[in-house]
Amino acid sequence: MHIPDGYLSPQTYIPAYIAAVPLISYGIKKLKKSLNEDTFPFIATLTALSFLVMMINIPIPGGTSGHAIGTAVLSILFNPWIGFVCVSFVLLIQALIFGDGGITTWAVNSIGIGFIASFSAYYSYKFLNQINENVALFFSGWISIVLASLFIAFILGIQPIIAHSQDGKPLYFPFNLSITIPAIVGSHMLYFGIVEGIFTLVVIKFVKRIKSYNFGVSKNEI
Amino acid sequence: MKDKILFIFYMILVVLLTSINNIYFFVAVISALFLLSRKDTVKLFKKTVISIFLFNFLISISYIVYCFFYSTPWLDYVLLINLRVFSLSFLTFLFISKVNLFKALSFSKTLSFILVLSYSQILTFKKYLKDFKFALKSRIINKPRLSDKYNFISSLFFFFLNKSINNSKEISQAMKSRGFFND
Repeated sequence: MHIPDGYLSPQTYIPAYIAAVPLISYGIKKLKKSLNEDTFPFIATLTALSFLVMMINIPIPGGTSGHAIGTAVLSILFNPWIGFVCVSFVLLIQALIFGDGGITTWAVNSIGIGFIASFSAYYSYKFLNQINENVALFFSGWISIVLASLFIAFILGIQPIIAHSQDGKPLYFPFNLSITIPAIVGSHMLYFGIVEGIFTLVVIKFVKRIKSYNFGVSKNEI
Repeated sequence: MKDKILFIFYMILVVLLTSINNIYFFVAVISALFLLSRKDTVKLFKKTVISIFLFNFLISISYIVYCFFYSTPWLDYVLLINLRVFSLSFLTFLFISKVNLFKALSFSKTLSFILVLSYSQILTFKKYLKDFKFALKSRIINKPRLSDKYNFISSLFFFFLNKSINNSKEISQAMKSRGFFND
């Protein structure tokens, strides 16, 4: 889902950086308050875990497969700030070290796949868990990726409006909202959202069955 | 210091490449990048093409089809976007190959520290994942059922989750014992 370099105008990615960097700093500061010296190693190892999740193919009934992003799992197991910070670092490592994704698009990707996905998963799980846990887990995974894709589709779809040549030709991403919303959000509702939902459901159920899930780090502390 | 200066230069160039919309400018930039990469040109060229091909091909083809239906010219846009994405990706790969990124980002202790630690953990985890996949392959004859696949993925995640927590505690203790934190 994440946007590669070259498709976003500076009018988009500069404000996105202005929003994303303070958000991450705030997230790290919040974690530092409770974890002290454990903060950096904790973020680093969970970032590696998050990177790994993106390498695992999740089969879905019907014979196909796709990879999850794992933001919902980290968010529900630990805390939405952890999910956001770790996924943002994964995206940064992918862009800077592996040359995957983009450095100009990092902030937009981080807000979408990190912030929006993490917080939407956490609060939808919290709300729906009172009704049915399985539904809550699947839905929180599904909604996290669908809302992230909606944000990405919106950002891409406004490019022809905010950045075009004098004769109206696009300069960055060429398609407007009437194309990006159904194409990107539709595919995430029908396919990638299901992958993420199944991953969130299966993994969290398994983890909770095996071990009480604070792992020595109190959920309320962070 | 050299790495930090190159990083700043890289960032300025990235912003410049996303701000200028002239095809000839990108042709000149790409030529300059080829000259700068010297003997690595072919290797970096291949790497860049592989990394951008799928997305750019999809967007370019879709745009050509779109323009065909609306009878509008497409060549300028397709050239511009492909040259821009190519130059940005080539520049990034060239930058990664020439600069020690961890030194370049050492202006922020927090950032460089998290990146170094995460990267080292990623390399370790990638090796474990490979071993797990080989282990599964060597132990099955028939295609595993969907439920078996889910069990495998869950166990895998659980293993790495435990490993993450334990490693983070060990790293924290190791850092403490070496006086990294000011008590």
